[in-house]
Amino acid sequence: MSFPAGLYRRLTSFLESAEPLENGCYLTADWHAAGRVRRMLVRSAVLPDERSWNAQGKGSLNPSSRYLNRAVGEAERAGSSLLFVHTHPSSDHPPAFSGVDEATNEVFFRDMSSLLHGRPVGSAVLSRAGMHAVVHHEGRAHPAHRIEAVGSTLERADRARDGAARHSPAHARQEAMLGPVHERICGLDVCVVGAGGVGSCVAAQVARLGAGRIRLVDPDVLEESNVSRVYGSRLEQVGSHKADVVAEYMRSFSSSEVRAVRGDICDDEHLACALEADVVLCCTDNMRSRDKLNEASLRYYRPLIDVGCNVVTENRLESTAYAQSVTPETACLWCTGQMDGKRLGDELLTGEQRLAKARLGYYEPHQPSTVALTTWAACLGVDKLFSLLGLYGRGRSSVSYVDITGEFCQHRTPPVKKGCVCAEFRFD
Amino acid sequence: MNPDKLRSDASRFAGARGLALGFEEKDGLVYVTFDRYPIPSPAYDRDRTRLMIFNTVEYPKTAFDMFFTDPRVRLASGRMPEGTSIANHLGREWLQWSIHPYNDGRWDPGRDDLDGFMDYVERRFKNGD
Repeated sequence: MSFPAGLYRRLTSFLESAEPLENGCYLTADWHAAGRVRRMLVRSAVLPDERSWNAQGKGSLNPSSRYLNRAVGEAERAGSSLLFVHTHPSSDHPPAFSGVDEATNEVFFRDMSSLLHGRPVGSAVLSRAGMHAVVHHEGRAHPAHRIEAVGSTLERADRARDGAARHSPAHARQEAMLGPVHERICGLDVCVVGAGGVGSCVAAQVARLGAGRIRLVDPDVLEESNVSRVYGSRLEQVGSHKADVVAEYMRSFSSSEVRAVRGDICDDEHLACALEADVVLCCTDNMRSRDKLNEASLRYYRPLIDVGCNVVTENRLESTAYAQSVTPETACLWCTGQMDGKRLGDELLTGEQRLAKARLGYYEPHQPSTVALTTWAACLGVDKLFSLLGLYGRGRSSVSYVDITGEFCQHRTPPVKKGCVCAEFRFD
Repeated sequence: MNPDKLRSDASRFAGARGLALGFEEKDGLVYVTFDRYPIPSPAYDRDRTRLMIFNTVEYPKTAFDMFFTDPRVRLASGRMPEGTSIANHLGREWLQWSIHPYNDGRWDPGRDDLDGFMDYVERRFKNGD
């Protein structure tokens, strides 16, 4: 279950405001299936008013039918699922449904499934120790394996731990450096899109960090001109798929579960594979895939770290490496001008039309590049991953740039731009 | 993506100027043609031409780039206008006018649109070269 962080903070603050009384709130949510992962994406809160409760006490809460009708109406209008969250305000124990809650859930699930035409229905309980939730879908109740609040940091609302830390000698110095973030990395499912100069370096770093699972997506085969930048590649591998080449390299030193996906992220199947992951690092050099991931990231609350190089052809020494986090509470790639609408348009032309433009010098299919710049970019990308996992606390900059000389360095957090195309798929 | 936005922007633009409008969609591109578009400069050998622009189905995310007129449009002197060449689209020849106002990331989908691009078209004609 995923919440946009802003909504989660407002919700918990509202719920806790009634202490020591129980409090509750209906939420609308969308059900999203990405590969094997099913997520309930919380979209909005239908806040109660003074007439919303038949009873509200220290150990009881009974929503009025008027409040329920209002919530069902909102869910129907949005074609959404419905979720009820309530508090156990005096409990420091891990959150769990009481016997009364279980019985109420059963009735709520049965009635709402029918009213909402079989769309999933959920129930959640919040205590000081975190949140627990169950989702009822297709006649069965499924406990939420993971409840997260996605914002400038990726936080576990269920307060569960991400995974077992590997206390191996191989990671001893990293554990000392990163503290609890090391454990989070060990349980992390990361998707790296693009296995070129930037992507191979990001993937190699994430593997050395000890991420639990790494998916590496790239449709292309290795060309001779790539070997100067692609980490782990050798000249005799020219003609092999880049994803396979880099995955083989990662497996040679890492115990992470590495999966190479030979495919284009713009295909639905491969996009679903990326969205299964906890975090997506976009390391491609084309606008189509970045646009696709930018939108999917916001729509489905998957944190995206876009990593790349801005090459200035007139003065190549002004070229910069950069990394940007895209989350429900930070600016998107369109907000910051990282997306280029002219280049995106060119990429969507037919091959023949693109060729005609290239012949006239109006389209440059491959940007100049060097391993020094792509490696800077990869390091910034991994730094953004640390930031997302909370290494620096909240409020770290969402965009970083460094030029090829390393002399110019900039970190900033641009606002979500008013009137940006991302407004269509933001819910926070 | 908003596939209707290009049509609605083009219809509004044509309606305000009393121009006949045509649409054709092919290979993920939407071609917009304005018949008898008035050329706002005496520097050319005619005062009206069929004018065509295109964009992708992803408009307004994607920028306009170049515009196209009747292939026989010439300067009043008989010379080809600067920065033009013959191109093929929709199975016929067009005179391609190379204007690229949105190079280097200058297209902002929250701000720029068909009307803004048509201002650049007007300015290009008014250059008279």
